[in-house]
Amino acid sequence: MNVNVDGTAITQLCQTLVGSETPGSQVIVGAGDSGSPVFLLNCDQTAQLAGTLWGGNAEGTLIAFSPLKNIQGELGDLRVVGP
Amino acid sequence: MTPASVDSPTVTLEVPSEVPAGAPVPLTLRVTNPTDRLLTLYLRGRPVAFDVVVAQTDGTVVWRRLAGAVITMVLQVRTLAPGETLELKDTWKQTTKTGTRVRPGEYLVTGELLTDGPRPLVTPSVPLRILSAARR
Repeated sequence: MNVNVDGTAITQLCQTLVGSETPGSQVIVGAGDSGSPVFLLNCDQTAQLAGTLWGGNAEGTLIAFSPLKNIQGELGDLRVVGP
Repeated sequence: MTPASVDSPTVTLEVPSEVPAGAPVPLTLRVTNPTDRLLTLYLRGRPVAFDVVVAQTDGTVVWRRLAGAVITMVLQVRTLAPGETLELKDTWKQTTKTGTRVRPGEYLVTGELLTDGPRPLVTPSVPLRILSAARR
């Protein structure tokens, strides 16, 4: 979905929101988390990179992230290198 | 100078005491360093995220600035010199969270400054009277 960034004239296109806005929901994001990797956990206990977190709601119970597919579409394929 | 703790600033909200029905309401949240030393603030968002809550006198919330909003999860470190004030501004259009016009009457307005902590820094509530068309 397209997401307006509060306090700016910026609209981020085709973003993914995950979490809950129900009062009392678990806090899952906070200040400084922007840029964090977002992973999908698979049933076989492996994980895959889903995207990069950049925002959330005021309560910290919902995250907004840019899907990896869109990042790669703009910046090119992700190259994973060793430490 | 030694940075003070994050809970030291004075946080206030300025709104007009009364406004005509339908007129935009200017909102100014001020964060002031009342100490005689540098004060480091660990704030959320870029631009700095702040909430404003408008409630009826019985506590029923009619509008919340950040309801449904998405803010950047940036940690913004701001240092205020002694006596320095950070001002954050917005406008309330006298509408509810569903977009309908609120009725004339008495309201309480409260500001909240989001930080890296679990609780925002909350301003004292200030009264706001929305005048009916007949009283203008």
